[in-house]
Amino acid sequence: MSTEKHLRGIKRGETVLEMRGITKRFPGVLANDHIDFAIKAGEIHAVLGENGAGKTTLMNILYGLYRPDEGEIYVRGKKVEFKSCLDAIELGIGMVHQHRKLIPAHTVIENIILGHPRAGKVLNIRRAEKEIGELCKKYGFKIALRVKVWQLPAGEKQMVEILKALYRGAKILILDEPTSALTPLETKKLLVSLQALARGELAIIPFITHKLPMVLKISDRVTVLRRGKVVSCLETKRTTMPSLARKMVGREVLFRTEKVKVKMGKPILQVKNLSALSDKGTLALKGVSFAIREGEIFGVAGVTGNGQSELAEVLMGLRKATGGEVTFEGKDITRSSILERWRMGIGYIPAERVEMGTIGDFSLVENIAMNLYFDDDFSQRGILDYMKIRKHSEEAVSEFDVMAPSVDTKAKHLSGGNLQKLIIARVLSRRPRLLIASLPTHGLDVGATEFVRNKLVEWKKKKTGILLISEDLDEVLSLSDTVAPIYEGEFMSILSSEKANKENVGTMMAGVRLKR
Amino acid sequence: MGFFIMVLQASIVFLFPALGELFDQRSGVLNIGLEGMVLVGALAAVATSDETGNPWLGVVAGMAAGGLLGLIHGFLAISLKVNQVVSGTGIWILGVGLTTYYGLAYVGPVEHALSPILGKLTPLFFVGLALVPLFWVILFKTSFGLRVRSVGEDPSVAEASGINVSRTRYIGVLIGGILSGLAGAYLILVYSPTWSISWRVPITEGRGFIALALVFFSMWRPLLLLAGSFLFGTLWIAGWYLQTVLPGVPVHILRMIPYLVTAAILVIISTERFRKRAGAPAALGKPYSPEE
Amino acid sequence: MGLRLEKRITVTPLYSLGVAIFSLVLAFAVFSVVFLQAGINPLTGYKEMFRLAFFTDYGLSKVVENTTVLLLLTLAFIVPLKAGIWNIGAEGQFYMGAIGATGVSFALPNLPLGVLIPLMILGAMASGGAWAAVVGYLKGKIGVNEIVTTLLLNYVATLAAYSLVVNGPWTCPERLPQSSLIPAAGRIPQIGSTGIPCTIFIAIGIAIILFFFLKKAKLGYEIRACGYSPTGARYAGISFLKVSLITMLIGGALAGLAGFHQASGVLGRLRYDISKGWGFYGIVFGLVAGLDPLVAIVVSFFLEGLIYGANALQMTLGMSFGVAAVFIGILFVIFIAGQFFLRYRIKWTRRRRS
Repeated sequence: MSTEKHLRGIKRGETVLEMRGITKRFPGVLANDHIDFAIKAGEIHAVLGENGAGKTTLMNILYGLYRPDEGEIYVRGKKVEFKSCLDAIELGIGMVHQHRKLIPAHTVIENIILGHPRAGKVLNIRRAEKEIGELCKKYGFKIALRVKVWQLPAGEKQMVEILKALYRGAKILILDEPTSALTPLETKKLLVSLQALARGELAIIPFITHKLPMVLKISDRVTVLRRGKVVSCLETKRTTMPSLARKMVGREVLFRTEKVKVKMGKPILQVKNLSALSDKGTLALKGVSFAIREGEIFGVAGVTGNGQSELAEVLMGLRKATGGEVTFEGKDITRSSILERWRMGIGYIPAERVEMGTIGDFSLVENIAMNLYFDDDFSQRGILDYMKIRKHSEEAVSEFDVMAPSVDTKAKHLSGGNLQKLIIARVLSRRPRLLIASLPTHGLDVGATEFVRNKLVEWKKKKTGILLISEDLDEVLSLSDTVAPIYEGEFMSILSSEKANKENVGTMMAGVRLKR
Repeated sequence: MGFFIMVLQASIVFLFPALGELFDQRSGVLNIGLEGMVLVGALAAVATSDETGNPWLGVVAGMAAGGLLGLIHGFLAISLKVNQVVSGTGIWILGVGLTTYYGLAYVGPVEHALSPILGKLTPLFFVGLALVPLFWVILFKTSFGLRVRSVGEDPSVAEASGINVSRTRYIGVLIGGILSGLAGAYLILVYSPTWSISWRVPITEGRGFIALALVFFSMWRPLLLLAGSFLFGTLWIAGWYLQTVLPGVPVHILRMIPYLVTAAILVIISTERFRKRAGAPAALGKPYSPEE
Repeated sequence: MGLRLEKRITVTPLYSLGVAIFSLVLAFAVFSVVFLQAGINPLTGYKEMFRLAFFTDYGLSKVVENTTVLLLLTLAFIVPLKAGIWNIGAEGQFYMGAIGATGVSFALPNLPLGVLIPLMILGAMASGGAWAAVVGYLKGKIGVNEIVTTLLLNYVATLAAYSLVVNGPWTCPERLPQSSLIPAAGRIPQIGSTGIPCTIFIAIGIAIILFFFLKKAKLGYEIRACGYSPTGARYAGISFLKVSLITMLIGGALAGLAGFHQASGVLGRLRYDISKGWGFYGIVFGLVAGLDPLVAIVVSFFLEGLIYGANALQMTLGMSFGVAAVFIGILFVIFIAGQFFLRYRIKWTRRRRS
């Protein structure tokens, strides 16, 4: 059954896909609870919901990656069953994932034709290049085809994935968090492309956690999911952002945390001309200079991949600086080891909670010990005082409200929000005077996000200097005293919070240097 | 000239298992049990050749035995998702055990060795040489090869493109096993047609492991692999030849050379400079489960 | 309708034990084929194996003697792996230890036993430790592949031994491939009149110490952190280079100590075939013991007994050489496969139509 034959003659407005009563269970959680969902040709239909609401599961079922426990799927009125992605692909369903499903080491063309039935025994690169080129022209995509994917910026990688789905004959395009890693400029470009695709009778399903403004801008209709159930499905032009937010979360949502004014003290951290290389050997940080004072929250705003992670790592000692110097409380720490920095009073909340911030196979106690084992208070002549560490852990767990059966539970059984609370409990228990928080609320639900932000403000009041790295412009603007948009390893500017607003920061994040 | 011929022959012993392992690793499966697969291949080859009187049947049997052991490793590593270093060790120990026990009956010179066709070179030698460009074409110029490489880089991406990751990896492991078995057959029927048992050092003398190092050294490229095989063949033979040139040095010290050089090369290519230029297949050694 | 794989979240010790026993029984069953092929009734075969290993004076003493070696070699594999490092070089480190001990005894033959033995121990642990520490350093500093490197060094160490005792400077007057006898002052004292060197107590003691070391010591914590998550450990300020160096040093020293035991306590000399591939059995035993030093004591004793018994069958039931190797091979593969059931659960699913 070839794609073309099955989807020939689709008219705009016709229902191309319907899901009825879809139910899916995982150990301990009901991810999808009798969900009904339908989409029409030529429509952009957003699926909105928090983390854990069940969007990703639903889309994975639609793409054939998971099999539903109950429920049916109908394509153009005919019932279908997917044994694997191949079946979904054959029916014209294509998916563009949030975590890029591309192979960085291969070229754009190799990625697009991977697994394509018409690729033939011997690869005919030239023919593929021609065909893909035509597709690009039709929808207005501009991409160099023979380049290796790891060299492309995020926005173009997104385009490659869309092209890949289109080349496979997709008429229904599922987009997972399509704008999460894009600059405002790239987002605008994407919007234009999506509208062009919709005009071509494609059905497009972007699904999104919290970029409500995006939903209102792009979609024709929106379906809101909460805790695995459909809450409502309505036309976008008939709803507002607060209304959608309320449906998503189930209660009123505050969009701005209150700004707290604190008298800032002397500088704790001074960075001069700091440079560093990325893992690929390119210059990721290009001579950055700034200072952070006691009680100041210094917010670095930017799309991930512009040097933020390298900055955080260099400051913590996880990465070598290729130039410049870092001074902490008057001491040059540019060459200090990671251990020395912890001991001196610097704390780091990393973005990678699972890989770096915690050790999954260790119990909560042993995780808390990650910041205590080197402390003379907790060890005697080379032997760790586990009783003391344990007591310390129990206090931390209760104070920070970490949900777990006991302190002996292994960290891998904790949810994302609780892991983050564990990390914060541990790092803050050392009373750091400089706190580096990298994407601290990323992927957390509204409750946990509120908690983390409050903690940051609490410690700001205790005169800790905080470096906040975030992709969420609202978060950065509402929490920071000083804002520095970062683009390709440079601070485009350093603004005080009074002068910073969404417009100028957003523009600078995209690489445009503004005159003050 | 004799030296040169010996080098060529010795190189093939490295080339076959290394080529198979290269293919296997390109699909993301690490197999450190090469030594065991070469051994069972050798045993099957010599047993079949002695029983039937036909050394070519022995070659086929060797390939089959190697392939079988490869499938066992595949089952452990792919379907049961066992740690690949552990399952490779298991295959190796199983191989050593089986060949030590069942091989007792065949100790001694081989009765029906494979006959050479060009000077001292047998057809297998030319097969070996031909396999290198063949593998290169398959890996880089066919869609099958693209699938194999994708599975080795990122199996979840391959899966989302509609590729059956397990099946592709099984093929990789099977090819690896068959070629190792072929190496064993070559070893016993051509190169040194004498079967001996020893607790210490089976007849392969660690060449399976040198082949493994070769794969890393070649940065997963077939052409470099060929060059590397010749290099190691030379080192191996040099160990013996230098005896005559340097009579004062004990033979055992000279025989250390291939192992030491291999280790030194491994150290060099592990340094930052090399690591950045040639990446291993990104998913090498990691078991894959779709519904994680 | 179909089979589905589900990850297991928690595993009780009882269940682990159950799976281990089941694997063992299955291995016995599969190995029976080998017995049948040789024309022997499997039950008789197994009975003989156990009898020879555990219920004869000679057998038991030999098993205990060998357990010393195997326990140390198992620990030599376990400690680095706790840090995530695969020490496949215990065989070579064993040889280096034997060389070291023998060398010390030849260099200082006139010292009294009380001084010579400790020096030999030191020599053995230093040579074995250094042999391993080189790889430990390289692994920590530049991330070299330790599996292949330690493997290759095995062959080099073996050849080094050969060069010493096969027509070499240490070869005994009778021109056999072994060294001259180690002086009497360099021989490990035996337990009473059993003929068993008392190193077994040292080995067991080390296992117990290691168990508590890994659990309670600061360094033990650092080692385990590296093993579970190198990134997390680094973030916590732990130096992988330090951990890598120390664990390999310990591993190599333990293997070297085993070499000392074999050269000084058992054989009384350095032979070219001083090891019967024991280094690799250490890997098997370590994995079967789940990397637990205390369990390793039991596992090494029991499995070594089975190996000894299997080998002894050559004499009493006329089986061929290599019986034990096949047995261990089969056991190991089945055991690995059995581990699958510790990580996954198989469920039958029934698809309901709504």
